Amino acid sequence: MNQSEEGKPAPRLKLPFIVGGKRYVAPGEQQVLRTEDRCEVILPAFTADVKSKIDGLDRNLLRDVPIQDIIAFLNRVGRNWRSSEYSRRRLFIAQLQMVLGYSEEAAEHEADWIGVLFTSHARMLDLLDIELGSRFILDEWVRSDEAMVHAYPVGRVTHVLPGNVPSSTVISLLRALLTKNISVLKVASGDPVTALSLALSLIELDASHPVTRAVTVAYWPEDNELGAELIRSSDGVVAWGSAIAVQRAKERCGAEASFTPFGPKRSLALVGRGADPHKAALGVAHDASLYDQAACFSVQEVFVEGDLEPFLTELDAGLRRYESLLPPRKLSTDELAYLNGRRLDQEFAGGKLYATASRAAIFVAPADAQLDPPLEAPLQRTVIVRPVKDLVEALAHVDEGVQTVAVAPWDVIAEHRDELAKRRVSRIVELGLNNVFRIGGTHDGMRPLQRLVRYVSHEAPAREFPKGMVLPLDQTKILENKSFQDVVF
Amino acid sequence: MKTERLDAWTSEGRRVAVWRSAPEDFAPDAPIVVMSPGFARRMRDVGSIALCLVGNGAIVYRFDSIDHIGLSDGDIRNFTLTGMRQSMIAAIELARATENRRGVRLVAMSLANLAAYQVAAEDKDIERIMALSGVVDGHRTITEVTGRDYLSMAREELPAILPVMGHDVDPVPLWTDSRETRCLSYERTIRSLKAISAPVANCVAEGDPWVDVGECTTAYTDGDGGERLVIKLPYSGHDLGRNPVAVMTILERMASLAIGNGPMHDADPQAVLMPTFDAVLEARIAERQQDFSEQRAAKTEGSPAV
Amino acid sequence: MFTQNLAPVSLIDSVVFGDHDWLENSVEWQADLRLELVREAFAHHLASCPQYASFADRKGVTAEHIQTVDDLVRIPQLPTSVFKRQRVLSVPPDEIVMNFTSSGTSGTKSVIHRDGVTLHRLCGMMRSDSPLFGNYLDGMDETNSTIINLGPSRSDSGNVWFSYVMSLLEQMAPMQSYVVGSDLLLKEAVDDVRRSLVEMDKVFVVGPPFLVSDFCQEVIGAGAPLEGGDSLFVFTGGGWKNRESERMDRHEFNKVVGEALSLADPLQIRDVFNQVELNTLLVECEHHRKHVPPWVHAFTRDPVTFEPLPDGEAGVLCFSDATAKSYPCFLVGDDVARVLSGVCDCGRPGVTMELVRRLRGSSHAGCAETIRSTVQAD
Ligand SMILES: [Zn+2]
Repeated sequence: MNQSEEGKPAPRLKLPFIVGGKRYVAPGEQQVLRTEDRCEVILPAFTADVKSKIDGLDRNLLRDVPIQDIIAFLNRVGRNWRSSEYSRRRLFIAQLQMVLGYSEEAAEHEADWIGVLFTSHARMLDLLDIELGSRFILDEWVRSDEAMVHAYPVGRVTHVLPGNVPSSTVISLLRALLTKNISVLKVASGDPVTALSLALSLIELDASHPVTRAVTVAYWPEDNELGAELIRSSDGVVAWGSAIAVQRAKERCGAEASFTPFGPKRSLALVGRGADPHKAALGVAHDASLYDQAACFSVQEVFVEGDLEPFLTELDAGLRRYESLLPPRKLSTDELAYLNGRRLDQEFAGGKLYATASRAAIFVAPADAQLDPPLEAPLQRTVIVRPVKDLVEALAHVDEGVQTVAVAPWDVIAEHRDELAKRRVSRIVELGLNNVFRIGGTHDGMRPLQRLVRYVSHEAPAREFPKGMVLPLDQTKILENKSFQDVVF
Repeated sequence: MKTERLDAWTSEGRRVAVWRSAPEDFAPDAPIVVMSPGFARRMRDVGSIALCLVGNGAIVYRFDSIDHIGLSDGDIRNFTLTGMRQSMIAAIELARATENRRGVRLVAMSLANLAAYQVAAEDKDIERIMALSGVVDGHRTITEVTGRDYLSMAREELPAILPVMGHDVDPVPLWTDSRETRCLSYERTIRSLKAISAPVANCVAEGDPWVDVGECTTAYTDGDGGERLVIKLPYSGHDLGRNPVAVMTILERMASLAIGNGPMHDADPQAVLMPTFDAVLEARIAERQQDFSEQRAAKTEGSPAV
Repeated sequence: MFTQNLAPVSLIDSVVFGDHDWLENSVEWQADLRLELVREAFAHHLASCPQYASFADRKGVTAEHIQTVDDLVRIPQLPTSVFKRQRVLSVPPDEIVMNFTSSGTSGTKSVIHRDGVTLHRLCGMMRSDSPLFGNYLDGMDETNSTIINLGPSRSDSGNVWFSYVMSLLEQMAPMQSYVVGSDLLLKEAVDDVRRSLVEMDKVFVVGPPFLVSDFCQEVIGAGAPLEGGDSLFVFTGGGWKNRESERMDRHEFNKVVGEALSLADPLQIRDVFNQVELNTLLVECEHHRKHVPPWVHAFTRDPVTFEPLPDGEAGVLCFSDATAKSYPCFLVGDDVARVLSGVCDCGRPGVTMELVRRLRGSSHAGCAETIRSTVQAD
């Protein structure tokens, strides 16, 4: 058993809340989060005082701030994050290791992603264009056929964030800021670090900037009534993570508020006969190693058509290669025991352990293996390989729980795309690109920005002929003449 | 299983506590079984057997012997086999009067087996006898149990108190009874067996220190007044009731013998319906409660015990 | 004259039900017996449980591989999660008598299907003269003792294993149960204990530690002291469940309970270890170690590699219990513990176990779906 069993005290990390862009440090009550046996995080208690301060924030703070100013500010923040000298970045990397157990390499990679996402100003404008129809629509009235439409923020968006996948926090916050909402980032007990680091990096750049003041970061336990009330009084709720967490958030979400669920999803890979085993295996290794399979786009199962052995050999090598490129998260004793238990469960269910690296493992599941629900996926780079005679057999394993289907070689997808879509998957990508959400792509069946705005339409007057009519719209006259069918063509 | 408390009376007017257990519905020719626990065991200790027999359609009468532990008159200090035999007769007569039929089957544990043979030797309406660890040579068994051959001693050599299986027994009544009636002797067993034309069976553990399989086989060969069957149990120990897994196997066999009508050696244990685990447990606890409440009632009533 | 033979009783039954006091035998003797019993159970489950047999096959272990006591760790073991998702049977389904679940309110529960034999064996070990209890229950019998159960009666315990097991103590002495519905009738329980202390030689209060703690608070709150002396015994089992935050360490618990109930000796308080997947009670001795009877093989695994650990090293507690006939009770458990072989400080030879803590379950909080929520159409 490791040293921590012997009662060595875990390191402590004291973190503040951020309320409306200001640090909130409570002198009195505290909450202690124990992230496994790695460390103890001490946070202020979520009190009525915190809640009333959050309730007092202006929900329209960003409404009149031009998009270009928001994006410009985010860009400046992102440039900081891109610098390896940036102290907030260095602290974030240290904290990801300490609190989440990330390897230094994986933490660096996360920090890089923050930099890239915050500075992708052109992409942000494209995103507005694609998802909302126009990049101007949040700033002004935009012609939309017979109406002028203006999008406004819904107001206050509460984000119920996941642990273990920091980039979800980044994306969730960016979407809310791009739509001019103010955000309450409710962190997961497993990752109080990412949201706080982002908020602090805004404060450090410009504490008085409206974007900075639009960000609140807090934590409350699942059963906290004040927290539940905060969700109830939000204008929008974005919920990430486990089915229970998403379900609870949904139950608390107000009837008129927008609700955006990013519930649990799994992803899988299809490797066709013509695939290059080396390239395909490396793609799977990447997609299964990133975030140690904690993300919805992480590949858990691979369906392999044709010759299995070369693929398995390459996959074993690929997973090992990724163990050095992105070393796995450090797991606590309990997490390791849990992982071993789940892997043992795979074996009981019929999986045959093909190989193990220092963390990664490959199971081969013959057709008669009972790997059906509710068998729990072990994650942590555990790849289940299912040999199939034809990729069509994989379709039986696809349901609405599948987010991303990664495919190699790319051309085989034409054959299966429609069937996969009917089975309610939300993305089809080339193997190795699961984590790259291309501009124009969808997320869990949605265009999420649309859920974070309310549209107001300013519609054409009577003098403007409605489409399909060749004279002004005079409804009284039409009724008197009983000529409705005659005037509308 | 419905169990009701009845009283039977010995010819000398002493009260024998009897529990009658019957199925909710029973056939007019349902077997009537009179069952006696062994020495130092109460009628509630044979509850699982009663449950099994009742579950297979029998009407079961159980009794605590007089001068014994349990709910009947007297104290185990004054135990005699004759007292046990008288109690058995009282229970049999009560069963006959209540059910209004003569034919009765006996199920006897351990020492009660001797009483069963003696009763059946003089009662042609005993239809069959089933014993579990049934003693055939009382003298030898008691010598084994107590560690010395007290029954062969002179009266003045007897200790004032003889501890037997956790109970203090005055050896004098037992000694006197044995001298006067020869009821504990092997010869008496053979004599009785010769006189019994009904089928007789005995389940004996091969490792039972108190009842020897060979001894039983010999007794049955010598006393072959009718069908005789020895069922050997490959277990050790005398108190077979202790091992519920063994009990289930034995029960199945015993029940098939006790309620069947054909030759015992052809009985089919597969035909027996076994009580469920829960039913056995519940019956056991319910009967303990019944026993305790009857004890309390007897105390407040002022038992006419001697 | 006819002679017939009945099928022999198995070795396991003769040990569970027999008079034999294994504690009178050496550690090595017990180990040899353990080898024989657990190996026999392994052979039974290989022969009777196809899922287990194929698992063992994939693991490449056969009965022949189990030749010495050291080989027992090779018996393939199942994580308890297996029982959360599927039925694993080593007897025909119609022999199952009851399906038990763990207590607690959240999460998927294990379901353990037990047949009569498996339950009889559990009952068989619950007798006051069983070496399982050391001499904690010496002198207890059904006429001089009574049990106050801070739990539901057997008929009310439904399929909840812990409640059922505690209610089985009723075999040993009359019992009153004081959880009715979801209410613990504390006042009535305290009154019963007071009454029983007058009438009985021995009074046992049994229940989970948090309810014993409530019981003590009720006694203190009542103002009238309760003189437990050397007649009152407290037998706890199960964890603190959803009252984990109130957990007291053992020393503190004994102090609080001992004082509240005026117990003559803190050793009148004992704890028992059990879980729904396990068919044996592991009862604490005078030195707070839980003794492991010879029909159970207990050891620990390294949480990192799952390899067996040497004696005395803290790791994931694992069991192989030979008394389970209806399901393969070869378990990787959910606790961290140390297992020691030798003569315990209490003087009894054999294997003992010391719990360190419960393993924390999944802390997965990502958005990867780990359990498929939908069922295939065909
Ligand atoms: Zn000990």
